[in-house]
Amino acid sequence: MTRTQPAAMAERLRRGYREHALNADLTERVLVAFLRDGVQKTGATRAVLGLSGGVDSALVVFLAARALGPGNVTGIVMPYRTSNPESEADARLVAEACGVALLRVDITPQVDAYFERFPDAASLRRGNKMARERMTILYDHSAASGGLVLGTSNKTELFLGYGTIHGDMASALNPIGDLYKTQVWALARAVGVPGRVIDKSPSADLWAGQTDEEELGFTYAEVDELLHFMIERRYRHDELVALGFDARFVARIEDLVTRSQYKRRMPLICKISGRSIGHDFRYPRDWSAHRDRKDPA
Amino acid sequence: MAVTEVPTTIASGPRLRTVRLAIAQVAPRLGDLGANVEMHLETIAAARAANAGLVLFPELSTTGYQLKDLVPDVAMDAGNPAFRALVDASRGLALGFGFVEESADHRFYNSYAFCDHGQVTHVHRKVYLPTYGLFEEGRLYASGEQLRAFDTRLGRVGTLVCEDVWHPSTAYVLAQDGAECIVAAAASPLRGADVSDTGTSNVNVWHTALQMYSQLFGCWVVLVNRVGFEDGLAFWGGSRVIAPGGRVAFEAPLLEAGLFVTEIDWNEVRRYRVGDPTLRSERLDITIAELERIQRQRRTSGSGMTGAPDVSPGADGRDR
Repeated sequence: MTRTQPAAMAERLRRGYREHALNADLTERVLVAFLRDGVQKTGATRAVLGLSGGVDSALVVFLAARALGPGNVTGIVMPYRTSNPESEADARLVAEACGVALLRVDITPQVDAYFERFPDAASLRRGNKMARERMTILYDHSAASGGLVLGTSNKTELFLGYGTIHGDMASALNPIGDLYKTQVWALARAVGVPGRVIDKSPSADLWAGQTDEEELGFTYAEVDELLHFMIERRYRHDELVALGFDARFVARIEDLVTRSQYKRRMPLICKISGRSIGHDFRYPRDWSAHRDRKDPA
Repeated sequence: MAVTEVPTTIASGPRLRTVRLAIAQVAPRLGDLGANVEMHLETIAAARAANAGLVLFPELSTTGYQLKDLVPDVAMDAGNPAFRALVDASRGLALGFGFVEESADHRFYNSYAFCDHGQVTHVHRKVYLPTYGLFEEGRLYASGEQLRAFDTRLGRVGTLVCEDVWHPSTAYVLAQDGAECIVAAAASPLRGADVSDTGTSNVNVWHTALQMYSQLFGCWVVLVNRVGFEDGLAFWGGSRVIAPGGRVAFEAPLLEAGLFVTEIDWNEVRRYRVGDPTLRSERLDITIAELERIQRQRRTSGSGMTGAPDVSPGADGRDR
């Protein structure tokens, strides 16, 4: 019997991951059906979402256009005065490619009006504020058009907490929240998102030249591979190191995932009564869907 | 009624050997018993119009799956008018449907009713309640205590509900109890389907397990799985009929709702078992004796955590 060398086994496992392909056809079918079902269940027919010019919102708007028809989807591009003009151009390109209407709302006046009162605010506060201003615009247009707000946070950023709670993380339905960034790229390619949107460096575009990967200090390919073994395959810290991941990198990601857990949960409610929301008042969220249909009042 | 061959009754005459089976791959409305019963009656009418002799619905087809605190609100006992309406609809064709059963002492079961001639032929209470990962049935339902095959005018049938299928003992017991057809009613949410080549998708496990049962037990296996979405879970459908020996005789599409009509030739069971007569050599005595030994050992063996010696089978490499 030959013994497999641990290093060779680790290499084989990691190569297996890198060579695996997303089941794009089935994933697309599920997500299109999910959006159609999720919107219809609430009695709505329409959806709104922010288009940043990036690949996440591009994929979601392509899926939504397929699910609901392009005429039932509104993309909103919400630039700030420091936003890269190419982002808006890419948002326009994406909207045209899938045939949805694009609305432009410049957030500069409302953001600047606020920070006139807090001129010393650092870039983190400004970035979060911009994300939340965009959220309020989306929800306002949700009310105006009777459309649900679609989320565009991918699984990688949800795990890393690389998003603004009550900002870009807020939505009614998120079709890509169970897809890692690298899977978003693969599915975007499969559904026909324009190549330049897929190929450019991901960026929150909060200041000129910003890129996610530079700010995070690692690439999406690296962290997705680690998250695959850590989350999907349930490898423990020592096993991840044995697979060849740098121990400090593993520790840093474990820390990011743990510390951002609050962003992935509803606010805590302190239990006082015998039946409390979030503790032992447990109904499905889709509970309301059919009640609404029976009793439209 | 049921098409081809000699239509007959249970009491006399040769059994009907070919049946037109209608698979109702439906998306129930979560927690909406009234709408779902209506959907059942319409679907049964459509099956009847298609000359089906048997129409099968998936797990919890009258209520939806992810019920949580809604369980008591949608539960039915045998006297419930909605339940009676469904049983009554089984005149002229046999019918299987899923429901939340409330017992006289107010336990709730994830149950599956098989009806014919306006009578309930059999109720299977789901034995294995998944309570892990995304599942929480153990906090909602009481567990069934029986696995029984039962006679129908079509042939001998055994019903399983979803997680039951993942315990091979269930299919084994039904096969030993004479089942010629195992009906697996499911509400299976898609999992691990993003990666195409690692075999982690639960769809693959279902297909493999059911095919193996049809091969090893020489019986028909019918999977009736639901479709639709509940709270972000995608139920994958993909209902299928597998002939004795593993041939996939019919396959419904993934994710799409529909009423799918196909035929089952009951005589296929005989033909297969003539060529592959493993059933007759099954040694129940050995199986029972060994299972009783294992059960005895589990009851007497201590937990390793308490410092007591681990006497579980194979712990020291010796049989006990």
